[in-house]
Amino acid sequence: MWFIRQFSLAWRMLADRPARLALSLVGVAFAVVVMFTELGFKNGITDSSANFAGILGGDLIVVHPRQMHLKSYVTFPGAYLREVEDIPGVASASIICTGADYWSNPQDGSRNRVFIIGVDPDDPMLTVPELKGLGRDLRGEGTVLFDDRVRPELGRVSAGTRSRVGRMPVRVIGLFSLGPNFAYEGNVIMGLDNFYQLSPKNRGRVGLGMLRVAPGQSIAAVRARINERMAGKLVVLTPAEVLGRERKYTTDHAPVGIIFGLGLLVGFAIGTVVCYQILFNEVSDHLPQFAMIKAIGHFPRYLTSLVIQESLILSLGGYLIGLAAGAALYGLLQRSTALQMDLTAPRATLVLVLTSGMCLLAGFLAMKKVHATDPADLF
Amino acid sequence: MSTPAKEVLVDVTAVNHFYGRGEARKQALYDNHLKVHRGEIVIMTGPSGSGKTTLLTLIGTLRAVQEGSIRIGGVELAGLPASEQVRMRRDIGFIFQAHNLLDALTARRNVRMAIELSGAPRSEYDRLADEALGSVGLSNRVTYKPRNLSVGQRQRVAIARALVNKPQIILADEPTAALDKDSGANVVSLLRNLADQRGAAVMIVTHDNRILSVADRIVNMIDGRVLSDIRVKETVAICALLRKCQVFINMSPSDLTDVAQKMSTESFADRAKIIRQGDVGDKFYVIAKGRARIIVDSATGTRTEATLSEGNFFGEVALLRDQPRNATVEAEGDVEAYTLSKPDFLAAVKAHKSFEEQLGAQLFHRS
Repeated sequence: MWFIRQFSLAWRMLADRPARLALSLVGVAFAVVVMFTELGFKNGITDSSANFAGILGGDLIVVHPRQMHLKSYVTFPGAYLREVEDIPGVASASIICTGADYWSNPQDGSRNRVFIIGVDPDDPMLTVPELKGLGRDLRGEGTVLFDDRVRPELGRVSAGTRSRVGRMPVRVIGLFSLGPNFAYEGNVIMGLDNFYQLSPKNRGRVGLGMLRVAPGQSIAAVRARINERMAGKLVVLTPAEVLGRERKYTTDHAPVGIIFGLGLLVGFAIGTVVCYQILFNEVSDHLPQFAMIKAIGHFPRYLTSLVIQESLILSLGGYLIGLAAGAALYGLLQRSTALQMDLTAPRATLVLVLTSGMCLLAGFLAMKKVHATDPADLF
Repeated sequence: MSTPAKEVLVDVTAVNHFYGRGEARKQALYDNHLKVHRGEIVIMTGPSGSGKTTLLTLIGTLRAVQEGSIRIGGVELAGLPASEQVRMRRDIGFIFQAHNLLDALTARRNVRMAIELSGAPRSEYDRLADEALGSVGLSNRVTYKPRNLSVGQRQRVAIARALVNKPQIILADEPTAALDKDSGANVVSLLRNLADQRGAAVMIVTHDNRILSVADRIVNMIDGRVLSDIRVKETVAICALLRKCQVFINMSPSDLTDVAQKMSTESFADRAKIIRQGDVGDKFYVIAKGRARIIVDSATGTRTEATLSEGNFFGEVALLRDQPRNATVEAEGDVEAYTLSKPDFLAAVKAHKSFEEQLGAQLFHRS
């Protein structure tokens, strides 16, 4: 009851000057949009960079111990995978090899780097729905699946388009959906035979050893067995662990992740300063009135919660405006950069928490002035 | 005895106050004493920097008492914890020179800010606020925000806020400074009513000469000291009577006021001996109300020499000649008398030649 009454006072004090309130809200919203943008890029880059990890199927994946992330191209001998295949509980294994080469734009011949995923046409172990029907066709010479979420520079491509990857002539037999990232403009899936032809040095080697565990077998038990047998030679991970590792690597090591992470902090700092300015002015204008509130016998905590509520109103109002603007901006950025810009609930919540945090921080800074007022100065 | 004892609401004793610390420490108040009674309006005057505002903020618990004692309604403020100080303020009505209304709130909501502290039931808030605003003539302005009110109306809202919880002590700082003559008079009569009807003690700091007449007492402060504490109403009443007395007839009004200010009021019951023959004389008396007999004991027996009535004086001979009382004066019915102490009486005689002459003439006449 007391809280609501005071909330209404805080609201009335802010709403008393609608023009100023609007400007303040826009100021907070600006900081919110900055944070959303930075967070969007940061996540967009992370999500996009890790997008390949997101389509890995199977139950377990074995990789070379020195392969810290999926773009390091560290491979291991195919013999290791055959050894793994013999371990009890492992139902089947499949090889994935990755590389990068240039894609020639079929319209103008310009070349862009694409990520190449070589898979076993019989059992690709990728969660790409299009592979279901087209997998076997990847055995044909120069047949590829092409990513349809690429940037326009790669040209207009559809099933039947002929072009080149590196020096190899290819024919697109279908499209799948993955999307570009900061390293590559697009993705191409091809059969392992074609892949080894394109990249002879990888012949007989494995980038990712995809494993399916036999029905009824515990994945953990199988994993332990592989670990025991292949210690020092291979590392066993689940697809989820590979994805997590990939995202973490981009966030921590790729400079873009750090840059936008810093950008988020800068947005927070800007927001705090903007909020502080707003609240400081608000408080300064009302100082004699605050002093009067003290003089008639309200406790200092009454003013504390009044200022906190003012800052919460500002943060909530500014956040809602910023959220709407942020959502619109995400759509715009996704269309123009083809980066994945998802406004997920946890991300929206994170920005809400940051916004409230910056307004509260500003509120506490402004509060010093409130508590420094001496009601005795009113006389 | 002197004026009927009324409850003391504000009792300031030996208060010193300092501003600043170390080298910059400066004394603002020096050994202040002041009592304000129930129903009394005290106007505090003095040049700026004289300490009157400091004293007011100390009484209002807006500052902590450093040295000495201030009791508000019996509660000692010296050494009171901060949270209790805040609570004390709720029982005091503050009227500030700058009204300091919350400009985001209507008149009614501004007044409610104070009601919230009173413990009144929530359902009563609006009624109490409207009632208080009605009492200052703003019934038709309750939903106005301060910016839509005139300066005088804002000041009245502030007064409604100060008075809504019916405080026993009201502290006002230049309550009429921003007001025109009529609004100022309204405010003053409002304060007068509060003192008369609710028995509130009202202290007003002001430079506004127009409102001095409302005061029961005028306290003049200079350089952190109470220079004079004048009981205005009583002084005016005494002057009015003295002016009719033969003995003071030629005294100028300002001389008369000087004498009146030094006089006290004393009451005597029927047949009480006001002075006794043979006692050492210590006071001079003027009868304000009632009659008294002069009785002289001598070798020939006791006889009533004369009967004194309103405006007559007695007791001067013993003071002038430094002799014991030469007669007894006994009240005939209830008597009220104004008295002047011996040193004040002798000083007045010395200072005012006409007084001495008149005394001489009257004495001659009487004997």
